[in-house]
Amino acid sequence: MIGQIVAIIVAGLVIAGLIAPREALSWWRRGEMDEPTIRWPSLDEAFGHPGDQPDDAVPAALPAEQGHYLVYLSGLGISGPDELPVVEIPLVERLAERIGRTRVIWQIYPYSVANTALTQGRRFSRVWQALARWKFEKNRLRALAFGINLRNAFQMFVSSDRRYGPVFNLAIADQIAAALIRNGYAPEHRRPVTLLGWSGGAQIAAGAAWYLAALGIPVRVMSMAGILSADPGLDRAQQIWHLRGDTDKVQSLGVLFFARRWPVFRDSPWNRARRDGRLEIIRIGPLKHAGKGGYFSAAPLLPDGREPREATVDQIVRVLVEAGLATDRAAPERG
Amino acid sequence: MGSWLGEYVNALMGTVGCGLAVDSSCAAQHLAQFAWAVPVGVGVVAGISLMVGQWALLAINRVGRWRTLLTLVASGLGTLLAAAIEAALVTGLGWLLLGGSPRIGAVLPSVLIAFAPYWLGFLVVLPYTGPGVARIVKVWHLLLLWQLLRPALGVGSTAALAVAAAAWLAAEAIDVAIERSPIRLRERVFCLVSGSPGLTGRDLMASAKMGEPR
Repeated sequence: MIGQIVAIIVAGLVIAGLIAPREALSWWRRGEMDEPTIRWPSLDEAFGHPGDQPDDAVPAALPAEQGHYLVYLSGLGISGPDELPVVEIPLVERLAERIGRTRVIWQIYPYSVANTALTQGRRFSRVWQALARWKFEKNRLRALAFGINLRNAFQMFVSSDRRYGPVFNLAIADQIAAALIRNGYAPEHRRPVTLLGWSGGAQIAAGAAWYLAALGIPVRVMSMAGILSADPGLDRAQQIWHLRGDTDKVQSLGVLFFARRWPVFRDSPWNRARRDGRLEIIRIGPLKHAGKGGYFSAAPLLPDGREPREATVDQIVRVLVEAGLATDRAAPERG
Repeated sequence: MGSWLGEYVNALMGTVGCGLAVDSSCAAQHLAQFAWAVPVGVGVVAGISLMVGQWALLAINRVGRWRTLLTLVASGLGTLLAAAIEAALVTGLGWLLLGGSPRIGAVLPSVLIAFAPYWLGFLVVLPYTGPGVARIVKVWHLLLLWQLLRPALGVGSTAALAVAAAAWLAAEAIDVAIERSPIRLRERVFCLVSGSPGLTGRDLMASAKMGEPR
């Protein structure tokens, strides 16, 4: 019986893996990019939606340009671009409140090449809707909601794969470029952009950095407990910060999974960045990956009396301020 | 005709099953029934599966349906050619290392059946694990070749391993020489058959040159 269950799970994983690259490859095959390179989208394109979905109207005035843009790429639990996982909302809102001279952009689903929610406009939308609902219900089916994380994890592996990553990361970079335009980014001014990737989102950030740099953006990557490979995109990031909690074992999976981060591969983009002084690993206290005591949690309080999520925000803000990219709106009141 | 086809498919599947289990005597039983048809079938399907494993190449090059079909068939036939080269290497190295005069016609069916693990070549599609699967399948092929060469060459285990390993290494070396040298034979054949420029993910990245907004 147990053997059969294991066999079914393995078969399910293999099938999920086999179809994982399909979305990115189909996107490329459809030829939505007529040339094998990236370009800035027009305003109409930036407010457009894929397929038959009606496009958003281009507003009369775009948001005012900011000196710095922080693009937040969520972790594996996200299911669409319009809604962050509940647990992440307070932290992202706090970041937006606190970071000065910066626009925080989070409306990107980093595990979909067309920024399409799992719960809308897909063949199995209803299944994903049910899974997304069960995530917040206390019943036996709740465990199945992990399917969303699993699906997104496969997309993370697609991003890290040398065969599919160039296509997948191109599409995500295209989505990020469109989001920047929607938020008032003026390409000709080349304002700095920091991609803040949480967990699996850090891999997507690293992958997209390659193409965003090709657009002329001074791009930086901030990995928040990121599970990321030694992606070639890191070569084009001006600075890489890898923030990690002392008790976070999950982020260590990145080192385990992605061999080219091992010191023996001296010429990998990760180790090259380390050697060049572009990669900084920052410990942010006794934080776990998720749950109580995790980066997003409000409790238990840390020995210094701060909430764990406050400690996370403090570190992100500190890094950005020290890099001269942003200001800390909370600094004066803290004296 | 229908029953012949059914029996043939049974023999093919049985042979591949024995091959995946690295059971040479079991594979030989199925061989007796259809002679060359079964080994050739194993090789062709292995080649098609390998090409399916390289789906990214077909997709990135936006190869159309008919060209895709043609490319899959060409890959199947290419595997027959690769098996023939490996069989020639086994024959030559068998003569060199063991003496005697093994015939290529006697060795080729065994070499073709040793391609049975490549039926799993489609698994190379898997993101992240795919390249690892490709390596496992290669080593699996070597193990099966070793087991099948014992009866084919009529030699003991150590001698069969020496010939199988030498032939396998030589075949790998030829493959690398053809692929990494200016000849780039496989790439040229792929471009010709698929009617595509032979773009890879690396080309996509290279075309996005640093700081050149368009």
